Amino acid sequence: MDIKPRRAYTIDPLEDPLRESQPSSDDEPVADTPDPPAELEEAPLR
Amino acid sequence: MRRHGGATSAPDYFEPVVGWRCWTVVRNGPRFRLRSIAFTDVWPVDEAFVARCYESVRRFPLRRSGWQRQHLPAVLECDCGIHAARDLEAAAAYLDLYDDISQRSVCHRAFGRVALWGTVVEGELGWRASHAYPRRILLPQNGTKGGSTLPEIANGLSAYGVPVEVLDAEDTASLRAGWSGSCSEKTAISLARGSAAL
Repeated sequence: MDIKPRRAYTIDPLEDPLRESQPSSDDEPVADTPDPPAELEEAPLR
Repeated sequence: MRRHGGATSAPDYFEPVVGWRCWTVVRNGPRFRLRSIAFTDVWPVDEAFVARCYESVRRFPLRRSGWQRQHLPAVLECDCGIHAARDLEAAAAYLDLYDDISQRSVCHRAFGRVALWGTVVEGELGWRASHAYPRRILLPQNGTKGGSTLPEIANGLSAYGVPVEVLDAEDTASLRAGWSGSCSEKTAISLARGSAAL
């Protein structure tokens, strides 16, 4: 197969290239904190 | 510092490139392995497949000066290295290459995604690289040989630790139709769906 070469470079994977990288827990979206119920927001301070 | 190719310069990138390619599937007793189509190199399990340059050996088999011209793949000036295509249609064109040559150990053809790294030559149509490992293995419906069944082959190739999927008849037909550059949108979507994370 002629790939019609254009350039050469080097790749040294940071992660194990034999395994597809899985998103780490740091990459997982953090669920939005739900807004507090309105009655709590408006509850008078005791 | 580079760990591939013996040089000590800093790498240009840190993520493998991922392309499409074909393999033959060979059977050795109960074991099934991927093998290059044009060469007899069997892809190892749980370790990178490392390319060698046969081109310099073929061109200069008996001349000492020829051996001196051997090099570590992949380089711009040679055709060596582990090949992968950007487009699945280009890779699918190799599904039947050399299929008319009787090879006792060959029991099927496989198609799929491959990660490439090390020394990489990038081209308009794909890549050549010094190191590779399969990312996803797809098995066409028909074409098994030697009495092996698709479930046996799929189970055997699971040793690579990557997803192995048997294409249904429709996807197989569409993939083969892709030889003429008219791979159906359905197949492209189906294959891409299976490799969305690649």
